[in-house]
Amino acid sequence: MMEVKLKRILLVEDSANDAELTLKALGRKGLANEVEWVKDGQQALDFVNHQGVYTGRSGNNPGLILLDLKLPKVDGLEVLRIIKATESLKSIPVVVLTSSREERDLTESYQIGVNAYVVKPVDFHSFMDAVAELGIFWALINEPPAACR
Amino acid sequence: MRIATRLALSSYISLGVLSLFIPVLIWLFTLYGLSIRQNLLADQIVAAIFERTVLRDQYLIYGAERIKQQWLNKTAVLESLLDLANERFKEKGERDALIRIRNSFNATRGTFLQIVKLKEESKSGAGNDELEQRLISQNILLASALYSEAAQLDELTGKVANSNYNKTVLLSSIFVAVLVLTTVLNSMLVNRLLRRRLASIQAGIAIIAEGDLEHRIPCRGDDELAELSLMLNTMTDKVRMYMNRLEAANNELEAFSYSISHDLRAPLRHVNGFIELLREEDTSSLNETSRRYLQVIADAAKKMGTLIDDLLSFSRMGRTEMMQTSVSMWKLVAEARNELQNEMEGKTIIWETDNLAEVYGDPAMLRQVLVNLMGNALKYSRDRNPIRITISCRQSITSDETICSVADNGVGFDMRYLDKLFGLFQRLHTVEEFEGTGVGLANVRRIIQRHGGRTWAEGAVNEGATFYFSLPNRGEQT
Repeated sequence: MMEVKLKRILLVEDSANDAELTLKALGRKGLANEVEWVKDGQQALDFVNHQGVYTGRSGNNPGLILLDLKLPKVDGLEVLRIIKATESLKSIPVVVLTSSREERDLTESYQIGVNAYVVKPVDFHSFMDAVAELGIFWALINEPPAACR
Repeated sequence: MRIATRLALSSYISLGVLSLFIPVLIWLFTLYGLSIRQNLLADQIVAAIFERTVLRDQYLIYGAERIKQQWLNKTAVLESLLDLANERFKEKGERDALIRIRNSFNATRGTFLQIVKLKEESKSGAGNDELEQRLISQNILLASALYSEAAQLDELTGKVANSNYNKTVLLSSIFVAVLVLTTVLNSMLVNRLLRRRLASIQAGIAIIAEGDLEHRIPCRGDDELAELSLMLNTMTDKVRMYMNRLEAANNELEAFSYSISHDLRAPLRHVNGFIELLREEDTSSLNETSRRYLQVIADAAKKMGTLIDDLLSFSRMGRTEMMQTSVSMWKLVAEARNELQNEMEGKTIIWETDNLAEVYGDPAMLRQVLVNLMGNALKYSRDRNPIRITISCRQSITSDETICSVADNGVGFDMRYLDKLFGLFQRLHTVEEFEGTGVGLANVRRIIQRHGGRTWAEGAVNEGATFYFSLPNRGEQT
């Protein structure tokens, strides 16, 4: 494999099945060990803010957040809004990975400042390809600003 | 005041003027008629006096017995005329004139009879010529006085008749003028009122028709137009209420389709994903039947995915904002054919187009209509060689719209099932015969209905089918 600097990926996904499939897809590109999986919006915020169960966790901001929209406790759009409104977090690339094709979700996400919006393909192979490409592009190829490293 | 009352009042005023003026007019006409009759009588008197004078002169010249007799007759006639006048004339001036005439009449009769007596005496030699001459000149004086007095009476009655005539004409004119004036004035007032009120109602309706259902038409006064405004406002209230209900139902539907979109897709993705993962595992431990089951599960999941996608596209089609513009059907057909390349591969197709006009509508949606109809035409004539597809447009004769059609030479359909054709998830064939979910034509109908047009079809089993849609020429937003 090419010489790359690995960055952690934060996967925010309430469905264990989806999480497993996503991990599988990332695993095929050798990215599985870099993934931190949280099951709701509150945990995601705790993770990036080093609070709650993540108080004193090691490491900086994740290199990529894969964010589902429909989440328990704090929903995806709210998480996105908080991250993009926080000075120290807003440079983290956030990709919405959702089942919703709804126009208003898409529009709102982009208005808040999402970096990409991906509809989870129903077809297995498309899903695998999409997630894997996302992981490679954002976590390996994309160069974030210095503050994120 | 009510408009009906206003109009009734106008008639009552006219009737009032009429009932006031007609007796006056009748009285005046009677008066005029009477004065004409008096004048006629005076004329007759004058004429009789003149004739009597002529007879006297003739008698004085010829001295004939016959003429004397005639004079006596005329005198009797004149006397009866004077008696009649005595009964009829009531005015002081007339009566004075009449008394003078009567006196002169009596005097002329007296002197004439004396003249006659002297003339008859002179025949027997005992005449008195000097007395006769004196009497004659006296008679001539009296007769001319009589004549001028009668002429005066005639002039007097003539004047009365004339003035009565003038009065009648004047009053008639005033009457007509008053009648016309009141009628015109009233109709002008009603007209102005109606115009102003109608204009305000029209403006109100225009605002509501523009879509502002909060607007209310002002209800001034207590007339029919105020009632009409009130009724229109009640109607608008109702429309708004139904609109609100419809909006609520639509919102619910949107939430429903959103939840389908999100919640139904996830488990489906999982079924798909894990079947594939299972297949990637070592499947040698599975027997043939188990592997077939796996395939069936995978196919069913895929089918369900297609169904959900179609359903969502159908629901989205009803909600997407339309961008209407003038668009060439020829261009749309070409684009649709491009999109259908896959379906056309390896087939002999004869495309025929006729009069593909400019239509008014949302280009993307109309392209979808053509893709669906032309796709159907390809699908249901795939066994034909060659496949013949005809796309044409024409102007409707009866209304301001363009009618387009897509005809094929395929398997057609039984006209008995016509009403099912455009229904959602309605199919006339099994998936094994022709694949599909039954959303295509439902989408066509929905798009065309949103453009304000209609959809219909004709066909017969094994004789091809023709699908029609119409589009209003000016573009109607719904």
